[in-house]
Amino acid sequence: MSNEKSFTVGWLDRFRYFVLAPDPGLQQLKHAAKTVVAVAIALEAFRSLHSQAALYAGMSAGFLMQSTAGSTRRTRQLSMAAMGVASTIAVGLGSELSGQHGAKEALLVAAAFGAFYVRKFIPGKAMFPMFAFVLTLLATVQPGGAGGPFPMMLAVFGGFSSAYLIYFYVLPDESLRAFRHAADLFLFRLRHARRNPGNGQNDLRAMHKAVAFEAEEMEALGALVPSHCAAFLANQYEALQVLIVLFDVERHSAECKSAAQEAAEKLCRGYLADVAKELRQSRELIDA
Amino acid sequence: MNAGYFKRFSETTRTAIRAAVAALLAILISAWVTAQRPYWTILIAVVVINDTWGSSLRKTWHRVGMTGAGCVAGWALHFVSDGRLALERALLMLAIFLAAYFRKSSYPWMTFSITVYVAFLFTVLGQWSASLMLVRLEDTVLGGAIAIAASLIVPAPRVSRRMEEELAGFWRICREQVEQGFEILGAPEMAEDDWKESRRELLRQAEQLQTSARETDYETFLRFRSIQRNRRILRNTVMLSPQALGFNRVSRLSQAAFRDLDFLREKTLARLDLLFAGKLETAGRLEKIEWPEETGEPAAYFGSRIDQLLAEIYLDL
Repeated sequence: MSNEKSFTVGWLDRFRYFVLAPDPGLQQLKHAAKTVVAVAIALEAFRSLHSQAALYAGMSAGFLMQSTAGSTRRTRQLSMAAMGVASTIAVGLGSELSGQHGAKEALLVAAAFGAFYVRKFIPGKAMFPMFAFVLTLLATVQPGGAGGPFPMMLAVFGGFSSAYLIYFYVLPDESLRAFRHAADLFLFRLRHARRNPGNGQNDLRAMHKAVAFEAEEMEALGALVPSHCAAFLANQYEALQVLIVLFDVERHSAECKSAAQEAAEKLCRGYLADVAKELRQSRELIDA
Repeated sequence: MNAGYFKRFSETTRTAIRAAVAALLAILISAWVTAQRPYWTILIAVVVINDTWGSSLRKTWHRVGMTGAGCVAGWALHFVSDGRLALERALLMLAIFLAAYFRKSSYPWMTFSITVYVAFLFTVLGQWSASLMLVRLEDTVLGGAIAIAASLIVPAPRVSRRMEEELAGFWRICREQVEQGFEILGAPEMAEDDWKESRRELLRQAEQLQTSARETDYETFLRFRSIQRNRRILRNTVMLSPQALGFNRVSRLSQAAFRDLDFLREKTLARLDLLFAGKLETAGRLEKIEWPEETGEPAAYFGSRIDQLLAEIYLDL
């Protein structure tokens, strides 16, 4: 591979494919920004009501923004709605029982059990029910004063409303865009790996991550997956495997190569070039 | 009630019971030591609970370490921004942003951001004091210790055992690929194109193995040699899969029939079978299998490399 033309990376590509690589499609960045907006809206909406209520509204908005599971929009909506209702009830109970010794402790133990037990019914056994436990715990410590549990419950529900609207209706996730970005990252790293084998392991790791991410996004797209995406993904696995073998052959051929080793190396290199060409073609088809 | 009692429950139910035990212990202990902010101890004791022993230890270590770092950063940032409300609020929002950003990609950095967020939340509420960060750290350490105690009372399964099963599954697929490769070498017209699915499955399993290996390191953190040995086994196993797939693929392209194919097949498959036994039965089996590399057949290279990797895995087993 080292006899191929050297591959120089411009600063723009370096930024796109090395700095932004951990977050294809900038999904995480967008999600974090949306979380801040949801928290700010909830805080502002309840500021005039009660300072503690505002705090609960902000916290629940932040927590509920993280409380989605499943690959489809519907399952995510359902999981966030269920968590919103559960958190509202849990805060009400925590606030109501805050002064009753024995009952308060029993509620916390039950909430800890429940937060882990409901994971049984959540895709991927996500940990977000823990947030309901956190809110329950805080409600037993900061029950909310003379107004009773209702301002707290209203605040949590307000936080949920803010999170729901921001999560699903403001800059919603674009799986295909993220898929494309990860695909470009993969192609870039493949080109880089073929021409700069010295950095091979880093490239392999980044390519592996890109493929795993694309597989996840494809699941999210469900029936909307363009047919070329599946072919593209299959070829990516192919390229990864050949590249691993090629790096291995090179590492073990420093002294003298056997005829079989030379033939294997030549075969892998030719095959990799073919796969790379196919990948580029199917990438164009995805855009089309 | 002995530890075996909990085995009747599913893994998720056992984790839930462990979390309940952790909450109960934390409530009792924080009342006993008259903790300043008992809810932090309870919170940490429950949130670091996980499905396996290794993952609980890993999470506890990350939580304690990064809370310490977050406390120092929170204190320093408070020192810089003290009295400037707009800046304090901006830093609070930045910490929320970072916690949400790292939630999926890095638990340690998320923990760090949450600690900074807590520092600024108390600042904005007008309840900041320098000792607050120390209390937070103390409660985190206590909560982590309680979580570990709860994982001993309601035993968490060891990742190392799960990893053994995953390794066996991985080796099985490799064996299937090699066996199919030999069949094709003997009768090329038998070739079937089901390798793409196997490739995907192997890469997916390799990823799972690497995750398990990271958690296993925490279970054996006092046994440095054991960690090194596990890493070597993993590295060689992960390398075995593309070689097995490669052998399968190039078998279709083989131009010349191999002499002694039955002998090579028998020896290689016997060696792969030994992986499931988990130990080397006879030292004689470690003798190198002589593949005819001088023929220039890529299949001979792959066969030879598989043999070499198996020998290295045996040495570690």
